[in-house]
Amino acid sequence: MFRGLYTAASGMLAQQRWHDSITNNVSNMLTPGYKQDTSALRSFPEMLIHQMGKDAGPGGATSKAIGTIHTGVFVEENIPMFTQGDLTETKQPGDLALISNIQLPGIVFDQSGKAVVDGEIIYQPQAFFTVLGVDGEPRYTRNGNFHLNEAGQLLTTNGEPVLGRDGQPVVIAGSLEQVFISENGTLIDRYEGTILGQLLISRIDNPYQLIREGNGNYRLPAGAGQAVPITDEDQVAVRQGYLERSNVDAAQAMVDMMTALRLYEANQKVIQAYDQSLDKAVNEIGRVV
Amino acid sequence: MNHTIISSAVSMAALQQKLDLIANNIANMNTVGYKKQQASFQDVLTITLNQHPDMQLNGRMTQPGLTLGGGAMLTGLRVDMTQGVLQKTDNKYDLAIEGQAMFEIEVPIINGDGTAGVQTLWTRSGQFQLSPMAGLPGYQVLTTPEGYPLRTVNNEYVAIPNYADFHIDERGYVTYTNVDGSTGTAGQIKLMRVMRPDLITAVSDNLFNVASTVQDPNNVLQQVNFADASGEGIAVRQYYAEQSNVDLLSEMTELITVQRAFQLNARALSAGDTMMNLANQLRR
Repeated sequence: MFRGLYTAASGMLAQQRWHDSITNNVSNMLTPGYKQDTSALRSFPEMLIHQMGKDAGPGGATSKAIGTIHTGVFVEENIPMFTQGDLTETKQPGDLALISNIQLPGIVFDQSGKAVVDGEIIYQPQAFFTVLGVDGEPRYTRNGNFHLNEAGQLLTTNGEPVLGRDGQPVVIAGSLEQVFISENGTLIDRYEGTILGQLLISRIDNPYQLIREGNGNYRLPAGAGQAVPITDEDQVAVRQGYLERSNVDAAQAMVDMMTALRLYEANQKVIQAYDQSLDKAVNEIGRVV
Repeated sequence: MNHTIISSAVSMAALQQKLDLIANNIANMNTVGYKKQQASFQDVLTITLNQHPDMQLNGRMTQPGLTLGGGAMLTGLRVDMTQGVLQKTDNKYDLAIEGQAMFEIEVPIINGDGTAGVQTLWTRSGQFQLSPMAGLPGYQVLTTPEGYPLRTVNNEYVAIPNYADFHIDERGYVTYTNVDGSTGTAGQIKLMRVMRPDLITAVSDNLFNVASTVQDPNNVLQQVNFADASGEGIAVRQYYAEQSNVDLLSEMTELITVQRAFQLNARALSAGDTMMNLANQLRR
């Protein structure tokens, strides 16, 4: 029996999924606030295989174990990387970028935003703009490309209202030109100096619990913790007139793409080798010359 | 089946549109009163492939389900209404606006039933000329080079007697001096303050219209009244022309970035093609 045929097939499928995810990253190289996905591959569960021999059989002594084997591989999850994207100046009053570097006391996070304390992994919390989804539930986004509609509501490019600290959509009576947005998201009238409201910037303690919905939005599923408004202690800043660029690394994506393609090809060659063996077993063994 | 090919093709179409936009901006670098167009990208809806709850194994970081994105699309198309540089032309027919306002223009159109009608459009391009108008003998009115008349605050035309010299002040008041030395006024030019720059769309001939989704154009454009706050920071400058607000440096930078992203997507597409080819060649 050839066990490896389906293992190689699962390898081809997994490499294809990985390549799909890299392509999506490359596609969104210019999407503001996009966070790149990394694919995690996992092997199929281990199996123990035994040698068949004269000792084996019902009632007989146990057969000799050969060892363990994995019979395949699959893409288990696509993990978004929440590292900060760089800021690009647009000079538009409705363009907002979030700089999020929330620290926890006594914990030093590594570059990917993780820390291991007493054998437990702690993830770095991340800040997001809060918008209202069509179903009335909040969505979280880093894409701060906002504009006003006719009624003066602040909207995302997708048309979802941006929420304020009071949980209501932000409404601006005048034009956006006259609104200054401070580092903590307070909306101030440039001429009068009056406070017009404050953006709701949510802090999510474990951002990996967020589910990507597309259109730049993330959703927090039930039972995955609570989003809380940021406090003054959190190192979060809003920059008006800037957009956060996507954090996709083009060079890394290119290398990954080449790797995935070659691994796909290698798995294809393995299948062809199995095919040749099967060909011999079926057509050549026992042939009467 | 093959996500790679579909999502890279979708994204290349979006990047192509962005390239077209940049090309149009660069082409209009020297167009008086031109406002550059901007657009942004957004990731297309992500699908989640369901996974069995048993897949929630040790060491997994995310919620169950495998998310797969579908590429990027172009969104947030808008006109950038920032001020262009005012250039002195010493031409009395050239008017430039300082601040976020536009001139109101009357464009003749043919209605659906074949009768003649007028459409109100707006412009930043203040290169006017004097044109004769039916029903106004002895006068000439200020029009755009296409012949569309400019409106005053009372929705009239700026009518100036033949051979008269005219002067326009900061607030748009038009005064004229006849050849015999007598003077007169021809009203105040109407200025509309742009309240919602995102709801302005560019039509041809340097003209702008409000987006078709707008119910009441007064929410988007507000008539400037110099007596109150609506006139803040707005002035009309005669003998000046407003240059386009296209910044060649930033357009070129963007052109390079978009072109490289396009290239990378093309590579992803050809890699997807190679993978399909490999799958086809499994059985020789």
